[in-house]
Amino acid sequence: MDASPDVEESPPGAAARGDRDWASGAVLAVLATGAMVMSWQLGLTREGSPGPGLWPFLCGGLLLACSAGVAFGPVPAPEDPETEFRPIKLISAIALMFAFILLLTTLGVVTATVVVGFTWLRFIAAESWRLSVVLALAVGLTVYLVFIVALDIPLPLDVFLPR
Amino acid sequence: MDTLNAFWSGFSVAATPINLALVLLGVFLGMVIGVLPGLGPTTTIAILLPITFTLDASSAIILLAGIYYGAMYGGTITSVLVKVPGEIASVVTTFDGYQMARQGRAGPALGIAAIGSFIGGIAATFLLVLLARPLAAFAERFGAPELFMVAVVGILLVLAIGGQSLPRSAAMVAAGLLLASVGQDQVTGVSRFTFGSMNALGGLDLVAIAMGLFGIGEVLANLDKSGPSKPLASRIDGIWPSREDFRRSKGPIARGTVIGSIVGLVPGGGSVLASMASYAAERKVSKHPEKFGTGAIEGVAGPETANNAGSTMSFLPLLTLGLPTGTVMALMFGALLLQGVTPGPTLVADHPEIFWGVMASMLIGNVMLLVLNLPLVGLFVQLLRVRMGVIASITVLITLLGVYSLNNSVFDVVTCIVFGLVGYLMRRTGFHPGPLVLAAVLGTILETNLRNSLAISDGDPTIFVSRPISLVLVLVLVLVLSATSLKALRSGRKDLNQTLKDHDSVEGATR
Repeated sequence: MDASPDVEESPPGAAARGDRDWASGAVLAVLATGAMVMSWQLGLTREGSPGPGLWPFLCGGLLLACSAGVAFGPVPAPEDPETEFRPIKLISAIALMFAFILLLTTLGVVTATVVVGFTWLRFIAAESWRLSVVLALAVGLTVYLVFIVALDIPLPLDVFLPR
Repeated sequence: MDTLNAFWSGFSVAATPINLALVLLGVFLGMVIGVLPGLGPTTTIAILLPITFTLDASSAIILLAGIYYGAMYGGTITSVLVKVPGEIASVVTTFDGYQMARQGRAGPALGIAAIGSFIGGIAATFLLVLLARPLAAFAERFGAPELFMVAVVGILLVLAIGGQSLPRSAAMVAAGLLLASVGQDQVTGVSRFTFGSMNALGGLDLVAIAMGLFGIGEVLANLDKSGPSKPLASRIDGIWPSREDFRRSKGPIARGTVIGSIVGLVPGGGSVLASMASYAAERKVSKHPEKFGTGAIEGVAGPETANNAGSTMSFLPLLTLGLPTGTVMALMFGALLLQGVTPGPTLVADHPEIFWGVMASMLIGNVMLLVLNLPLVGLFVQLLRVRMGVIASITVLITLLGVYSLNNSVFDVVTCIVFGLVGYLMRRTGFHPGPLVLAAVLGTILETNLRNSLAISDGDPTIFVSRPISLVLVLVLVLVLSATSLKALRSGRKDLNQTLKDHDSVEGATR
């Protein structure tokens, strides 16, 4: 039997329609209060003129007011209900991005692109070994030709490649 | 006559071989990337922003404008073939476009969308050319209080019309304004929210933030999705609409042009509201409104025309008032700032080559869009088969390399990744990154003009109601606030009544 669109399940992590979003409201309220306290310390006025803290203080106040609206207002329905929270993929993806920075600054742009491209394709996107290798090498070559040869962008270059 | 001469001079900028190539490249790249699953115009522009750094300002904005309307049309292709709108403005196209594709008429749906977009885009460009100078001349009378109020009204209209939850969008605006205040205070030199980091003294890089929120955020959100969408047709035959299709589409295209040109000027309206208003209008004037939603070509022709006219017109407030009316325009604003050009009332006079060059390139770009679309639609259909994982890996690499190349700074890349995670969390919790980026772009303008206004008036805030233009803007502000509150109150009352009704019926059933 088909499920009615009105009773679609929310993805894990997203609140169902009609619930109150206390968590988001609380996070925003904490951020807003922190910003307001720090702005206050910077000084709201200075010699009769607006001080460096005035504007962020006002913005923090707006955020605090909105956090109440978020906490007490309805939670919007998820945009795409066909999603599933995948924490391992998420953490791996972020770790891989940080690995990219490390490889870029130590070994060079092409090695970083090929290694991270291959790892992403094979282990996050679950593509075949062959496609992952071919595509990663192709992207590495394109990056070299476009960023280094054509555009001459001063990216850290691998020792074995000419600029 | 002066305007026409100036417009004509724009062709000397737009029609140089390099700029012609850039328009072609922009439209093609925009269409290709706009078709790829999970990447809409905003993401496309965000990840391709670094390409523009090596170009001069007019070439950069010509390329980005090409990418914009190319990606908008790419979104139409996915709306018709897989019922996945590339961006919100194409949602309406899914109603009848997808139904036409199911009936084996994907070709005419895409054909009429391209023709309608072409006519809407060309008409709106001419209107833009005519309106730009008078509007810029009027805006030149703006001082700090007026500029502050224009930006406030702009943000508020985006919130009121944007169609998203008001407290959530407003919270994102506040967060964006706070982000813009990170770094050294321009007046006193005091560092704000830098936590001792020397890298943050100059402020967080807006492009890194936008690329993180839209590029990385979108990729991370797509990791949660199960698989690629399957196109309804593996090849498209006969894209040219029939004589009957043209007869039925004439009126909707004409009305769509007018609606899009008017609505596109309103901040927050842009292409989204334009396409929705056009669809509503077509249903209203149709003798067979019941056919809408079942594959009526009028439901594709009108909204697609209005959508393109609206997105073209949204350049007017950006280039003449310095007011980005949506997320894409906020990114364009950022791109111009990176080039050392501040969009505003003096842009037309100070940088005529940019303004008129962009106008002329829009005409050229719309022709290229039509010419490219007809023969290449088969290729675009094949692109729909590319798996999300492949797109994600390439998007991540291009985004990170692009951000690094901004300033050769690891700090920018870390900022981008952190904001990617923030963007992902925002998507999962029902927040949209658009208002945040818009506010982050406008934050410095708002703060500078607020402080200048208060300095002019010796700290007296009544300066905002004591000058005629600023007073009118305050009245608009009050009007929008009242209308929005009234709407929220009505909808809250409706929800309450519904809840009470549901509660009664549940109680009745359990008794």
